[in-house]
Amino acid sequence: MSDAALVRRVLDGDARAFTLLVDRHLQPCLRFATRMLGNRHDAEDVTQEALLRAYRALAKYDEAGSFRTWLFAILVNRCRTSLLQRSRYVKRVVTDEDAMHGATALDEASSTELRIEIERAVALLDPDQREAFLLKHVEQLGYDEMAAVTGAGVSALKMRVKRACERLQELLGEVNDVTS
Amino acid sequence: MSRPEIDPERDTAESAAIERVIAELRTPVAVRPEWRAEILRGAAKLASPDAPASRGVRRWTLRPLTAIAAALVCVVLGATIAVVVLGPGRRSSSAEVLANLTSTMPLPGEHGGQSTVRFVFVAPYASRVSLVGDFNRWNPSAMPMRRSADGRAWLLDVPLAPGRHVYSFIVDGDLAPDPAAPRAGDDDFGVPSSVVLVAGAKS
Repeated sequence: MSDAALVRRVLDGDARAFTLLVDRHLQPCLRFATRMLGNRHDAEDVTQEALLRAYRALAKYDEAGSFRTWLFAILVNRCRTSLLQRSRYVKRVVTDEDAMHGATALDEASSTELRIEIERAVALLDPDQREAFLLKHVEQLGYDEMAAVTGAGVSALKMRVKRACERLQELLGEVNDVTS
Repeated sequence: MSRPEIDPERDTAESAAIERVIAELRTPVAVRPEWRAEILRGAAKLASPDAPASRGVRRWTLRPLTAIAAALVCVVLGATIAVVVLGPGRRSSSAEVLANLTSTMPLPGEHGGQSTVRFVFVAPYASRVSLVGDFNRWNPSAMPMRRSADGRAWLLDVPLAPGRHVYSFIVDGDLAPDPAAPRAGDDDFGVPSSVVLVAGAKS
């Protein structure tokens, strides 16, 4: 059953349909928020908030567009707000301890050295670049979808993704230079 | 000097290091069952989302209205653009003006030594956005913004004296700098803020 059909069923009073929608989208939403915020606890908070906001606003969803795009637009906004709230009190400094914590929070089974370095490099990206990179390469949205989600233009998004890749290569290259 | 054409999609996908990063980041993040249950309990506590009455029928009745509204917006925008583009001494192209309608920008022309700056913040899901800055003493209730006709952005035209102005938006109670403008290097008290430059009057 399509997302749009599930939304119609929720709006018709079938609460179970919302459970199906949650199960379909919870994992990618949590993954994006975790990678974006670098902190599992904050990621769960913003994902939960985004899903509940989506539930309340379900009648505003336009079936002409993809539900995933609509949901991610809400999630991206919540992530931005979370980052802003955090930056109001403390400038984010990524320390080894942060990287370790983020990495273990992501997936305890695979907290390898490589993963720690990747998480650390991703955390050092400019938030706009990190957001674009994750949407494009991790969540695999098309540039048009990304434009709808972020409010940015396609060419700006392409440039952000390109810059993110260059910066990641630079950061991970530095690590390899030091360790080799 | 000619520069080689860049295809960001192609260039960025080719690096083995980036492929490895992507593969790592795509690893699924485990969902805690108790957290999932908490979300569903949270939704159950909320009032059911309001279904639009006769959803299908209502869509058909809305479409002509939407078309009329869009036509009106086009007329108003067209008139505005005509004034901006065809006004005396204006050399901007209509494409340039249209592009600028999606981000904060000083509008051409001036009155009494001041230029009007159109502040734009794209936030389709925000319910309240206001503008704060050095020009209103960072007063959050001084300059509420209005939602654009398509509902995606929030707009406000503000007359400003020539010079550098630092500003930010308050989106549903949270400060947000303008993502389409340069950040202020001297963020006051750690407040994320942006900068708009207003050109001085020609003497």
